[in-house]
Amino acid sequence: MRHIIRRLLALALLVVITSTTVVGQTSDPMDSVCAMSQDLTAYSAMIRMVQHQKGGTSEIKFTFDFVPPDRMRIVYTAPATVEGQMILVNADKFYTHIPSLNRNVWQDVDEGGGNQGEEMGFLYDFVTRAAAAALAQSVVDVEDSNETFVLEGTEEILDVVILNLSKDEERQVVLLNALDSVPVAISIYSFDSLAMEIRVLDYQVNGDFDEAWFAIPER
Amino acid sequence: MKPRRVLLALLGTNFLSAMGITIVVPLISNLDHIFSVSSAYGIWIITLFMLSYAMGMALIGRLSDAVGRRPVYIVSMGVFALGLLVSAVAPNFGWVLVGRFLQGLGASGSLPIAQTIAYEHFGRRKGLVMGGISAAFGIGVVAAINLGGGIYQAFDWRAIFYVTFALSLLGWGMSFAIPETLKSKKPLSLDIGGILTFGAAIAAFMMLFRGLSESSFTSAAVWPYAVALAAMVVAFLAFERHSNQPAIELDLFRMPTFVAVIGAAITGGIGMFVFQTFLPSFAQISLGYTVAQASYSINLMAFTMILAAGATGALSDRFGPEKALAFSLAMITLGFLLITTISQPSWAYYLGSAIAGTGLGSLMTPINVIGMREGGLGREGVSSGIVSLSRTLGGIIGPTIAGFVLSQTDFSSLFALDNLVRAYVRIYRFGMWVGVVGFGFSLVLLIRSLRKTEVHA
Repeated sequence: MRHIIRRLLALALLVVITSTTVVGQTSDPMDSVCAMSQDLTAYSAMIRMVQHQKGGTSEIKFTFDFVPPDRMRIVYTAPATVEGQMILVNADKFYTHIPSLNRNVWQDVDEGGGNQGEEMGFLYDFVTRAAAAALAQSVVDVEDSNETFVLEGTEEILDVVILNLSKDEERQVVLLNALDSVPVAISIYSFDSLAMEIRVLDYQVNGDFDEAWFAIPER
Repeated sequence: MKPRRVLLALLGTNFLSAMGITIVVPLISNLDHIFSVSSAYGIWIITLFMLSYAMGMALIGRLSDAVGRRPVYIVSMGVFALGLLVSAVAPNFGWVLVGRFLQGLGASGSLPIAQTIAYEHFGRRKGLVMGGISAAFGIGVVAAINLGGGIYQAFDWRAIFYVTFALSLLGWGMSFAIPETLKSKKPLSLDIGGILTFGAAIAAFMMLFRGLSESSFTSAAVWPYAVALAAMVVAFLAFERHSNQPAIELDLFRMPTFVAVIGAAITGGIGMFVFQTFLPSFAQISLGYTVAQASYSINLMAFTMILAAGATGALSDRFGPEKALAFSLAMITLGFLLITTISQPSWAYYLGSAIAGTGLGSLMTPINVIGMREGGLGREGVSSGIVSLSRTLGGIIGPTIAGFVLSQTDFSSLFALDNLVRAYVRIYRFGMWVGVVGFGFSLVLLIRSLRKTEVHA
């Protein structure tokens, strides 16, 4: 009897090890991130972005809420000069509020507003469920690495998978959380010069949002 | 007529005319939002005023010689008030600009005629009164920015024009207290062709930059204005050459020192109007101030400006106007430099504006003194007029170029405000380089005056 139990335990262990190994070897990060993007129902994050230009660098922090396909809310939290600035996109309507200039702008998206998210590179592709299309349009290289990434907001240490996306003169280095394939850091290079860094400080996927959260204020 | 009442009328009306220039400055960073216009077009709220102001200045002196000081002064103040009313009730930005054009035309009568009346009416005390009129004008420029910011914050843009309109009615009433000081009338001879081609050239310049903010130079919406600008400049020169009473006497430009004075006046004018016009909106964007806070934040610059304006006359007498002018343009350049280079935004703003204020306050007196001296005996009035016109021209060129720079800001970015700050930094760097050129002109004048002193010694 003890012999049978030992064999069954050994068999179970073998099954667990084999299945884990098989999943680890065949789960392509590109497939995972595409699947995650495709199934995304909501995304909420605190983000730090650094823009590198000839005249120097500039950094902003903001909360970024997105419900695919077309609900977006960005509220700036730093630096002090932009604190409280808000960008809202709701379907085809765009609204921005700049407290320091006492300015409110209402526009239709097709008038040129609401494209600000595109500066976040692959993160924006991910939240708009366009990760697969973005990867299909780029030359993608998956890096083998043992790197980790610290979420600055929670100080959680994440194992990451690195994707290198190249398209024309632009290159993006994307760090995906190995656990759920959500992008947590993107560095965008233009002509081999670092142009933009996007760092996710904390995030939540597929949470609940009240529709009123994205409501455009009345004029 | 009691001298005190005349003095009060001259000071009051000039204070109000000066207010007309800068009362709208607190609106500048909000024009695209209020009127849905581009920055390059929005800045016309300043430049169109300056255009009619310059055209009026070229016209009004000779007009007052022919029909009298008093009627021209009263009509000027009336036109100024009418312009404010037109802007206040304007259904769109185009009508606001029509009002601004009238305001500039009206305001152009107040300062030069007031100076002439002071010269002709106050005898031995004329210098004191003329200084007082200039001071009232300077204080009006600064007070208007404060008042405009407060009114806009509390009400809306129309209230700015309504309040100034009410004040201008008071000024119009005061203008009736001004006596006629013209002893003998001269026949009316106006250089209409010269003035119109001058205005058309400036308008073409403004249209050119408005077009460039939206299209490339080769676009049909742009290059015709460049052609028109060139044609109007040629036509203007032709008119001036053949006119009996030209607005600008071209033979003055045969003197290198006079050309240097004009160079200093234009660059100084660019520096003065770029610095003052964009300072409150720069404070809003770089320091996060409200419209009212930003308007009040210029008071440090105003304080150093008034101090410097008061001290420059004595400094100019003691050390010579060339040294005073070099000091002024060096301070303006340094102010522009500091505001764009000190990394701590508040320090950059306040230190830069305080130093620039010193330079701006000490600019006018030495330029006028050198201009009148270099123009030669008997032509002081004409020389002074050309210097003032050149400074006003700088007041059109500078903000027009700055408006073009602002219009290139990428607002469709997450870094939109940051891009706007960079645009303002570019504007202030432009001001700095213009200051360097102006300082170069002042050095030319200084070296020539030192050589003259050596020869006399």
